[in-house]
Amino acid sequence: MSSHSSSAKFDLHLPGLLKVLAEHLYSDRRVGLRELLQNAHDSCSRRRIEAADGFSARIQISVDREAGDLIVEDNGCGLTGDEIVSYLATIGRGYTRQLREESALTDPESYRELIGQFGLGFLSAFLIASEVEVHTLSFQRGSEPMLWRSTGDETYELSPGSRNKIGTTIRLKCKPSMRFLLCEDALVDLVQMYCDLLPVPIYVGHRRYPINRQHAPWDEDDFDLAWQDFVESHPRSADALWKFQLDDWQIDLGHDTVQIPLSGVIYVPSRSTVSLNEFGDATVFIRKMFITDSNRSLLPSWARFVRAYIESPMLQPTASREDIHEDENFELVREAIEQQLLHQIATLCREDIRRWNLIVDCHTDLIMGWAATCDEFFDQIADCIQLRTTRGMMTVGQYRAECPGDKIYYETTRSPSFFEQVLLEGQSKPVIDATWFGVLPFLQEYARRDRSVRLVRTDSDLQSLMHDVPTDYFDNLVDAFKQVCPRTKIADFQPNAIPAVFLYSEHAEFIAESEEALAKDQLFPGIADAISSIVDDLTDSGESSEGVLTLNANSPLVNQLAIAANEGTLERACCELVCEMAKLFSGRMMDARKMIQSFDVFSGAVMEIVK
Amino acid sequence: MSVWDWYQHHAERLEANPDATATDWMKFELFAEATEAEDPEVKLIYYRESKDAALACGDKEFALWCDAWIGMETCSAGLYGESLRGLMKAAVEARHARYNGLPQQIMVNVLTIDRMGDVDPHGYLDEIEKGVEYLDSICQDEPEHGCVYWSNLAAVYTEVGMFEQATFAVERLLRCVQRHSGYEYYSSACMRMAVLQASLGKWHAVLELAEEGLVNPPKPSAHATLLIGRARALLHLGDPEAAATSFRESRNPLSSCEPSSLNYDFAAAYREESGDLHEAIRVRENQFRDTEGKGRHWERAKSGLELTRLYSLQGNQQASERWAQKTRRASSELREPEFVAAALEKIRH
Repeated sequence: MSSHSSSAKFDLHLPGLLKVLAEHLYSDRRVGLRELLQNAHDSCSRRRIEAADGFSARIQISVDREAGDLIVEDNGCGLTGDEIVSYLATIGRGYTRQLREESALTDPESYRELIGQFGLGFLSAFLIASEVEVHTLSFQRGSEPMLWRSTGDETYELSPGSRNKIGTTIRLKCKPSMRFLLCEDALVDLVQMYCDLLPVPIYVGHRRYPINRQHAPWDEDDFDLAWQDFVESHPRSADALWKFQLDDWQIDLGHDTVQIPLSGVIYVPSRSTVSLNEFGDATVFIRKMFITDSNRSLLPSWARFVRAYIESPMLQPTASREDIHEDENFELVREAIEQQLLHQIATLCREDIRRWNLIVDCHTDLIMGWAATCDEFFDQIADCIQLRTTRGMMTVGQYRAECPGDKIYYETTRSPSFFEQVLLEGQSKPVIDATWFGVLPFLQEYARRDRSVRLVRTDSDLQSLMHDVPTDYFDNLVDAFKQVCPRTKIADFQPNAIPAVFLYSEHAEFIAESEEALAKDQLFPGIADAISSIVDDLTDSGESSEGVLTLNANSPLVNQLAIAANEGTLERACCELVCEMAKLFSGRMMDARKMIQSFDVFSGAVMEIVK
Repeated sequence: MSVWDWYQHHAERLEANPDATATDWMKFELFAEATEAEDPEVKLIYYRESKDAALACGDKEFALWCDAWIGMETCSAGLYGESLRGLMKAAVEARHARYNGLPQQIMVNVLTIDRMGDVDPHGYLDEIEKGVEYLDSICQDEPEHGCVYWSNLAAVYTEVGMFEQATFAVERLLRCVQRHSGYEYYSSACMRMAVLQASLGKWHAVLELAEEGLVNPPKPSAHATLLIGRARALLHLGDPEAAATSFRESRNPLSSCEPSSLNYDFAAAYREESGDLHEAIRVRENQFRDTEGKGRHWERAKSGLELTRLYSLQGNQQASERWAQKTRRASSELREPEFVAAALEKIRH
C-alpha cells in the first residue's frame, strides 16, 4: 500500500439510501400525504407569485378504490422536464428552498409562505405507494406536458404526458398497509390535522367545500369569534379559563435587540390534575403547516398550567418535519414566549385579579409545584395560592393573619404523629398540609423572600407547645401512673380537653425495628454492626423506642385524678384507661398485635371501674 | 434480575391485569418518569411520590425499590448523610422474609455499604469488609452487584492507603465487569483502576486506563475523574499542553453533576502538580464549603486536612493553623477521628 495520502469522493449506494430516506426518515407513514400536500401548496404559491395570472388555487384529493390509487392534484405551477430532472428526481435539492434563498434579498415576503426546504419530501410518496406517477404541465410558456413514473428503486421513466391543464396530478398506487387512505373519512382527518391552516383550499372526493379552514384563528380580525369556531374542531382547547394571542416580541440581548416573529395562542385549560400528563405542551406550526402537538420545550418549565398553539418562521423543522430543532433561534423564540407570558400574567393580575385567582385555584398544585423555579412568576402567585390547612384552605397571608407571630407550621408525610396537630389546634394554630411535594418548596421560597417567616415542622416544636409545671401537687398522681407506665411526666399544654398524650422520640420506630432485627440476627453482616452502633448513639442521646405518657395539668380529668391520688383513692384501672387511650390515639408504634393488647387492657380497665 | 428486567416484567403484569387500578399505574408511571429524568432532585421528587403511592396501596416490595433509588439519588444530589440514613432504614425494612431473594433486598444492602464508604471509609472499614464478604457469598450469579461492591471496596482501600488490598479488590471488580454486558461498569472500573494507579504514581497506566474509560464515558462525575486523571498523567509524562486541554474538558461533565470527592481530589492534585498552589487551595476551599451539612464527614475532614497541608506548604502558618482547628472540629463527626489528628500532627512536624 502506498504511503502517500490521497483524497476521494464518497460513493453512494442509491437503493440503500432511497430506502433509508423513504422508509426510515419518518416515524409515521401518514406524513407521506402531508409532504405531497405541502408540495402542492408550494406549487400553488409559486404560480400565484410568478405567473400573476389571477388563477384560483386549489388542491384536490380523490380516490380510485378499484385501482387502489390515491390521487393528489393541484393547479399550481407544474414542472418542466428540466425541473423534474433537477428537483423532483434529485434527492436533497429542494426547489422551494432555492426559491426562498434566491428571493431573500429581492422579495422575501412573497416567498416566505413556501414550506419545503429539504428536497426530501417527495420521497415520502414511497411511504404510501409502491408506484408513483406524476402528470404535470408547467405554467411556463412553451412547456410540454410530462409524465414521470417510478417504483421507488434507483430508476425512473420520464416521457411526454397528456395533461392539458396547468398543474400536477400525482397518482399513488397504495401499498397494502396504507390502503386505509382510500377511505375518504381517513383523508379528511389527516388533512385537517396537518393542513387545516394552509391558505390553499383542499377538497376531498366529491365534497363541494374545502375541508381545511385555511386561516389561523389568531390571525383573524375578530379573534374571539374565530377561536369559538376553532375550538369546535379542537375540543381540547374548549372551556379555556383565559387565553391571549402571541405577538411579535422584542428581546434585549444586552448589546442589541432582536425582533422575534411570533403568533399563536396561549390558553389555560379549565382544570388540571397533577400527573405525568401535566400541561405545558405546545402545538407547533411552521408556515401554517402542522409540525407537532406535543412539544414540551417551547413553553417555560414553570408554565405547566398552560397550553399553546405557536407559530414562528424562526423555528426550524427537522428533516422529517415531525419536530423542531432546538437551536439558537429556538432559544430566542422560547425566551420571547416566556417574557410575553409573564407580561400577560402581570397585566391580568392588575386588570382582572378575580380571573387570575380562578386560574390559580383551578391549577393550584401544578402552579405551586413549579413556581419556585421562576422568581417573577412566584411574585404573581405567592399571595394567591390556597394551601390546605387543618382549618381549611387559606393563603399564606390569611394563615399569618390567623396565626400571628413568625412561625408557619407544616406537616409532611415524615412527621411522625397526629398529636402535634392536635396540640397546635389547642392553641388555635393551623397546620399546613405539606405532604404534596410542591408545598414545601413553595413555603421555603416564601420564607427565603420574607425573612420574618420561620417554617416549623410540627414535631420539632414540642418544647414551645408543652411547659413543665411544678410537680409537688401531682407527685402522687405521677407515681400512680408510673405503676402502669414507668415513663410518665406532667406538663401544661392546650387543649384542656385532652388529659394525656403518648409521645415518642423521632427515631422510635427505627430503634424498635433495629433492635428486633439485631436480636433475631436478621440483618446482613456489616450492615448489622453499623446499625447497632447507630442505635447505640441514638439511645445515648436520649432517644428510645419507649413512649412517654405526658399528663396534662390543665385537664379537669387529670386534676380530679390528682385529688383522688392525693386522697389515696385513685384506682389503677383509671390510670390504665387514660394510658391506653393515649397510646391508641398516638398513631405511632402500633402494629395489630399491640393494638389488640391495648384494647384488651382498655376493656379490662373499664370493666374494673364499672364492676 | 436487573431493575430494567423487573420494570419490564411489572409493566407486562399490569397490562395483563384488568383489575389494575389507576393508583397501580400511577406509581408505576411515576417510577418510569423518575428513571427518565436527569436532574437528581427531580428524580427524587418522582421516586418519593412513587414510594408514597406504593405504600398507599400496600405494595411494600415496590416501595423498597423506591427506597433503593431514593438512596442513590440523594447521594447523586450530594447528600451522603441523608442517603446513608435512608438506606439503613431500608435495610432494616429489607430484613423481612417477604423480601428474601428479591433483587431490591440485595440492592438496598449493596448501596448501604457503598454509602458507608462515601461517608467515612476509615470508620466503617470493618463493616464494609464484612459486608462485601457476605454479599460476595450470596451474589455469585449477579455480576452487576459485584461491579458495585467491589468497586466500592477498591475505592475504600485506595482511600485509606491499603494499596495491596485495593489491587485485589480491583481484580475482583474486573472479573465482575467482564461477566456483565454494557460499558457503564467497564468505564467506571477503568476509572477506579486509574485512581489506584495514580495513588501508586504509575502514570503510564493511568493514561492508558483513562483513555480506555473515555472511549465510552460513564456518568458525569466518573467521566470528569477520567479526564482529570488523564490530565494528571499527561502532566507527569511531560505534555502540559495536552494535560491542560484534558483538564479543561472536565468542566463539561462537571457542569451536569454534583462534584464527587474524587473530582475534588484529582482537581486539587492536578493544580498542585502544575505548581499552582493557589488554585489547589481554592478547589479544596470549595470542597470544604460544599460538604457542609451533607453528611460527607470524611470528605469534609479530608478537605480541611489538605488545606492545612497546602497552606503550610505555601508558608502561611497562620492559615494552616486556622484550618487545623476547623479540621479537628469537622473530624468530630467521624467514627475514628484519631486518624485525622495523627495526620494533622504529621503536617505540623
